[in-house]
Amino acid sequence: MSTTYPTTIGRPSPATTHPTPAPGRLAAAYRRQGARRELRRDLLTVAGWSIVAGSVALFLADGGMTQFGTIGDAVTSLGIIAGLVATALMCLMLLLTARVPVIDQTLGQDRATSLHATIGRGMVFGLLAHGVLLLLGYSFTGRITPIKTFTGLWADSTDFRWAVLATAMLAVVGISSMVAVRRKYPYEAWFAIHLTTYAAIAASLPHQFSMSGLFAEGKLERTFWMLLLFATGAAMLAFRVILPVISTLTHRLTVTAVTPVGPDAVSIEVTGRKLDTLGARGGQWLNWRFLTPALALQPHPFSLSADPTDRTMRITVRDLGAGTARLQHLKPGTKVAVEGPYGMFTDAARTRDKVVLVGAGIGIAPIRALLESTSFAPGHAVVILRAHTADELYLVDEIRTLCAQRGAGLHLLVGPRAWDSWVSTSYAGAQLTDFAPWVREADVFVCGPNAWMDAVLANARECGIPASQVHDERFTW
Amino acid sequence: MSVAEGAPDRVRGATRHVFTAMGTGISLAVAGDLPAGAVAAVEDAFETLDDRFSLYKPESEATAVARRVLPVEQASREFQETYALAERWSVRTGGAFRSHRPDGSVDLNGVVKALAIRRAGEALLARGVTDWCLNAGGDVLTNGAQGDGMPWVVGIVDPTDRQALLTQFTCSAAYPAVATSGTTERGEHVWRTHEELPERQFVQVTVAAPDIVTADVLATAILAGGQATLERALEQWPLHVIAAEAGGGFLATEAFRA
Amino acid sequence: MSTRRTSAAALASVGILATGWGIGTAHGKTLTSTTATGTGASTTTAAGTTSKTTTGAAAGTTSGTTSGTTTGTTSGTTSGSTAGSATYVGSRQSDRWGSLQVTVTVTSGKITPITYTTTAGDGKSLSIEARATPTLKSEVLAAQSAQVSSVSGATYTSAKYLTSLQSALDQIG
Repeated sequence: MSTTYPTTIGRPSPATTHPTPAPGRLAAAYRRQGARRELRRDLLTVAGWSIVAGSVALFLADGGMTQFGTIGDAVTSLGIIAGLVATALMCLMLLLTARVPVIDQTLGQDRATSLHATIGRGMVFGLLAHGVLLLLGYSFTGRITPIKTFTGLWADSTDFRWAVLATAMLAVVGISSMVAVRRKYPYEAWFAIHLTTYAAIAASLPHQFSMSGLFAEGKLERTFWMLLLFATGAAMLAFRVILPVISTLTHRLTVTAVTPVGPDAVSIEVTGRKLDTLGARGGQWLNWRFLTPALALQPHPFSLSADPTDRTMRITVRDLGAGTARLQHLKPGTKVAVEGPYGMFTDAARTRDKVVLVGAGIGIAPIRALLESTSFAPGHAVVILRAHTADELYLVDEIRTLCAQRGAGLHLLVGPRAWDSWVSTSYAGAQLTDFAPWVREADVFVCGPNAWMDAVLANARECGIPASQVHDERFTW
Repeated sequence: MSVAEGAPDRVRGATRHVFTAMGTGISLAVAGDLPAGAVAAVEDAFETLDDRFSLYKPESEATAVARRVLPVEQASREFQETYALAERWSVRTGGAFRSHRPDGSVDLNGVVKALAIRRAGEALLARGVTDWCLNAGGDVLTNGAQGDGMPWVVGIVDPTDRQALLTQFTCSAAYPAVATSGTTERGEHVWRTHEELPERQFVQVTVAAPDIVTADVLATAILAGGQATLERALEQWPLHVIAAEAGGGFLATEAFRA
Repeated sequence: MSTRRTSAAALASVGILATGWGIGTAHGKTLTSTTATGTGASTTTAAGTTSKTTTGAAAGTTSGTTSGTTTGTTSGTTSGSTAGSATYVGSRQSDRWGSLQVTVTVTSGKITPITYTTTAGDGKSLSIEARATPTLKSEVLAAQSAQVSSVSGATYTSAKYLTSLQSALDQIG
């Protein structure tokens, strides 16, 4: 493999060092890798849908199909089904944010998180439908008004009161997560509200025991739901709490160097023990907690900007706001806690033997790491960097050197943006195929500001590049 | 008012058969002839249910379940169905009617006697006996009419003087069943679920309903649950009710008012 | 989403739902578990348990997941005519907790309902009394002992039966 830049202590990490196979073998190897990932995606998708279908099917198998005779019954049964689906979706949501390795290695954690948000909308809707339909159904059957049904249930059952509270809490969480609302207040506030999800789940449990057949003894539903809930809880505990704690204690990361790279960015080098067991690859990101009083509560997702070695990792951080501003002045010797590594913006996402790497702004950092860690034959790789000014071309010297050494083409698109496109005015009208005519048989990795990435992806579609070959990493929270 | 006075000829018109089952006296009055097979069938209805559900019989299935040596899921189908029926009634009455004792053990007594009455009634009808009055320990189910065409009339015991009648109910095709639940005979066997002023608590509840299980369960439920349960029951089922309060007052529907 | 993935997920979901449906509607669970002959009591009792019972003040209301409870309206059928009587199995109605059905035997022109629906077929033969009003003892309908053929009181034991009013009635008969 090539040498790493800047010079680091330690040997290249075995996780990313691999001899470049002969060109023919490279294509086949990457295709196989791609096929395996597709298969994993299929299996996970089928599993997810099966869990939801299964939760309804168990209800039907238990005689739920006989409950549609009258309007009241039918509405009630639909309400029950809505509740079952919402609960199943909730488990899937939690699994998606649990940072389960196989999910990360298949979807990429960023995709998983955005899928979590999408399902979340469905779940909140399902919960509301559950409540409304059941109220209506009971009212039809009992021939009383919905209000009376509600007050009757409220008066009779503390479990019901908790369930109503849970619904209200989840609705608040949902609203606070809506993009339009989220922008108005800081991340910490949003995070605190989001944490109340756990309290809401706990509050909803009593009514699931006393007012539903979910946990009826001797029934298959009981096994199903207990397994599902247990697996979800175990996954969250293991991968979000236990594993990161073990990682932090094992690797004992410390900041060793903070080097300016351009007027508004620094490269932070972090040293630790046994980083080969951490298994990070170039292009992956971790959640970094720098353990100073001011920063300890803020986890930052940053991508590695160089291939990690068995002793060091490097990130490059641009000053984009309050949190990152403080990091510009980080002191060497600061201890670091990490969660991760996460992400499929790596060699592991490759499906073809050719590759195009496109980066803008601080998104150049993982592009730079990927350039070092992914395999290609000379002439089969192109790097495209976009920046408004030359100052924004972070790590461009390292990239230039790597491209020269490895035989990758390099294009720098500097200057004002050409209307809404992804290129600069000097390249106005250019498409990906202009930079790499074979781009349809290549993997395309894109990282940068979201709006710009959307433009690149749109162009990738126009060029006819299959979606499975286009890889992007986003950091919206 | 004592019943010993009055017109015995009315009563004499009926053939009566009395026997003991389920720890209480069962009285069957039939207008007209009472075929022998019918009597045996009625007695059998009570016996077979008692064998399965009596908590006073150590070898009964109910005893095994109550002691938790037999889980409900492994009990007989009839037991499970009866259990489910009791559970449903528990839900319908908002918990005022209970299928479990306070210690958590299963107790289906609340429905079993009424089920036996119902089954006995079906047996009578199946044998062509259509005019009868069956009284099992104070729960009454009627069919048809007395020998002279007059309806069956059920007297309600006065809770303060058990040798006197408080009031009466005239049975009809729509309301053939009358059940009374009280605390005065066996003591407090009903566990109260709602807080109420002592003088407002019910000491006896009589329910007339279209069906004996409904009547029996609701009489018990209303006794336990108090006025709230009474009002709920009246909203959801067609009933006639008279409930005697500890303080001496009554809550009564129209049929029981003069 | 690849076509392969979509169809796999769709097939799996549909297959699972169909299996659940099939199991649920097997064993005649859609129909009443009554005896087939006309005068059978047709209240279905469900097999299997509902949720565990809550004890104590918070008695919750269970949602209708009891298994084996019957479907709603089947139209009335006439069956089992024995001499001089006909049995009419009326419509079944399901309520939130289960369902009951009216089975009516018509004998010599007289209707004898055996079981009762929560909402009766024609709704007119049964009136729903909505109110129980406070009543003084003096306002309670007096009993006419001449008419009384049976006595309803709180359950009495065998011993107490012997001294009860009902026993007196039985002895006279």
